[in-house]
Amino acid sequence: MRILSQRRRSKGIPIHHCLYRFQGIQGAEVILLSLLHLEAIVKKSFHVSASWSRTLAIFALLLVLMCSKASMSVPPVFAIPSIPSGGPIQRHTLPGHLVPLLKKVPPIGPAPQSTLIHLSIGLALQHQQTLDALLAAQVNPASALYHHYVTPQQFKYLFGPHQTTINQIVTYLHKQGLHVESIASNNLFITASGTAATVEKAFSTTLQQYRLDKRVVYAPSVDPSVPDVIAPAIQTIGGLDDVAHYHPLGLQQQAGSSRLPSSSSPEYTPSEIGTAYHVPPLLKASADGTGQTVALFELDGYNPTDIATYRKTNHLGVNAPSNVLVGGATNVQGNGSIEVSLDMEMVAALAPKAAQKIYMGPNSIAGVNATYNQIVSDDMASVVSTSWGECEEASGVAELQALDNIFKQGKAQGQSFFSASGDSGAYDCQNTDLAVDTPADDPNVIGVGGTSLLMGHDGAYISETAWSKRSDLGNVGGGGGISSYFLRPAYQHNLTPRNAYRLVPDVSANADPEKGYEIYCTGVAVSCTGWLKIGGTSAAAPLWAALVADINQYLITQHVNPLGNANATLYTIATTAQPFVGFHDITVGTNLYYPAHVGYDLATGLGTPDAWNLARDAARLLSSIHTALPLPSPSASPPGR
Amino acid sequence: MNNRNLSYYAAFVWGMILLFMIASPLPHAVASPFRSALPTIIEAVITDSGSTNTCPYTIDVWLNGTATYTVTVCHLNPLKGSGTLTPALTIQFFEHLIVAQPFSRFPPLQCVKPVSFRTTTIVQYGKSHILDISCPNTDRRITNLYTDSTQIQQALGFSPLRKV
Repeated sequence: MRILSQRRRSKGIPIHHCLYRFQGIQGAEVILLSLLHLEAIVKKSFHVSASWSRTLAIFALLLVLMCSKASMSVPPVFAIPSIPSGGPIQRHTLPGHLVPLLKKVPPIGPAPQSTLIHLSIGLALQHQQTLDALLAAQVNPASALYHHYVTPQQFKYLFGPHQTTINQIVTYLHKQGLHVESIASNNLFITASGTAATVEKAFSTTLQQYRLDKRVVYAPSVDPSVPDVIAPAIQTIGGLDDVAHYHPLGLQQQAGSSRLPSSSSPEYTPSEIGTAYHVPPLLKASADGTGQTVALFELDGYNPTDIATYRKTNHLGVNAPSNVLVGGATNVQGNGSIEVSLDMEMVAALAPKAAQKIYMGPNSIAGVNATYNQIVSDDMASVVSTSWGECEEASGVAELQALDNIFKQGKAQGQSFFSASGDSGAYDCQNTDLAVDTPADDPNVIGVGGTSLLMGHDGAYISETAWSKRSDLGNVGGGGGISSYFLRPAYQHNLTPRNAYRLVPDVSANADPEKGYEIYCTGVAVSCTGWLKIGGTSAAAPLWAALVADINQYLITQHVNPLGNANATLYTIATTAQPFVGFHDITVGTNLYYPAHVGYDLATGLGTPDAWNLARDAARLLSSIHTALPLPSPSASPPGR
Repeated sequence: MNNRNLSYYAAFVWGMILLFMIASPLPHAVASPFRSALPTIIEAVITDSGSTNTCPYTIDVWLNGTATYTVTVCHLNPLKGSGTLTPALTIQFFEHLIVAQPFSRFPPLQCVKPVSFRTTTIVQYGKSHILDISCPNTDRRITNLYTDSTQIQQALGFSPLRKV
């Protein structure tokens, strides 16, 4: 290295370049030598004393270093040129902002011009093809980049929008009279607000009102446009419509102030559901979530006392969650707070020692974007669960892509996102069209469908079918089908049905409210008065998140890297010969349309978990790839079973 | 202590503080225990020493495919440029860098070269480097890096040959 730095000096490479390259000992060496040179020059040029020349030399050197640091602190990017002033401005239409659900709905009039619109402007990632190649390499066991994840800082540095781009767009928004509220730390989103009139003018669009079911909503009747020079940097103008209103996917079945009595329609306790999905051996192997963090995406608040009561009643120990309030949200219970309790209690039931971070944001496009984005920017959780969803057709594709950018960052960082696939079976838009739910439709998210699980005494697994039920009150079932937007990811390439698009769900778990989970919830806003029996894929998603937290901990104890984004590994385990059977393959029932059958199906995905088998298969699979890491052989039989 | 000395010490202290800030590394994997085993280094530097007939150059390659180069000595002003490498070449290069880790396993490579084309090619990845990868070698981990380096230089479209 010394030879190298000397050669650099002798060939006249700028000193800041040397410093930058050879930080540490080599950098110090170069700095000292440079300092001596500078000192001599200063002394000779300005005829000052030795101490003054040294002082000046230090300042001169620091000035050079600061300049070089500034110039080197970002990778080279091709910043967009400034918007020309004067003359006609060429505009570029941003496609994907029309809501598919409104295609057949006539407008009832223009949106009131004074309506306050909150925008979440999603910016395009840079170097997307290279990012996709990196994401593929990270899940390809043959690649040296397998499971090599990046930090949020690295992701922003490599793939995030450049600050120059941000400045350009902010300037444009200001000039249009919009109020810029915030810029996400990873530069992926700019939030801004203004009246409908201002927004229409800024983006050359028209906002119309529509009657959708029992709601009056607004949405653009034409795609927005922006000046050509900033168009390539903008992925979406989120918030131009208020059609998508995320809802929790849980179904309440029965309520009572005292613990539910046993009946012919039982509720499942943490112990029972754990036993059915073969969790106890994991817990006995001390894989109870210790050291793992599960993030929960929420659009409502919760009562901490409820969670404490649930934990105490079920002997799960004390483990206080931490809240992350996003976009001005507060932890106040609203009508969706039962979802928050369900998520927290499901995770507590199966990963009692895992830390829980509750990300709470406002229920709006801007709030949803900001909350997911906060989860990946913080990068504190290896596993994330969301049970808030919306019919895929209720979002323009621009918004779907903006969310996908967030999930790509999460995947690149090694985070697993689990999302409920919806409770409307194959008809997520609750009409006669086949549709799936978002974000379970995203290929960088693990979609969790629903089953109906029959248990014997003390949680003994008996049988399981795809969950669906037709009734006069409405048909329900585990969400599943084919995305109309996202292309088929590599991990689904060999599956049927053969077409070009993403298949949902990936996995499933019990979601039948008639065989629901016992949870504890109080609150006037949700009419909770104590113990409840809850079902829906809302419960299945946190169940899977908790199990993967346990499995990750188990893998670490086995000196194996955790699952990271789990989809590829789960598909490999399910579709190739393994020593243990990691999934219950569901072969009976439908999700109101798609039948369950042997192998992958659109009703239940790969199936439901056998947690202990999955953990051991994953340990074996990942250790065979990471040969450098010592791995004790997984025991042939589970402890205590 | 007189004023002169005071200013000297103040400058020195501020200098050290700023120096520490400046020398702090670029974003590296610091982090969550759930993936600490496999940190990712996102930048590599290829340095060619130049020779009688070729100009020295340095290429910075980033994991997002961006690359900048500086060709020195042969030009009045250093020739600087940048480009974007193909995803395939980028990923392949970083894969080869990881496969070749740790560089310390390879002794410094030496070979006989034409006296007027005696270049040395070095790859720096993280805190370690490997030289001279342009020497003939039977180890594919090294030859792959040299092939990549050549492809990267060609993809950036500059010539290290001296202009007459």
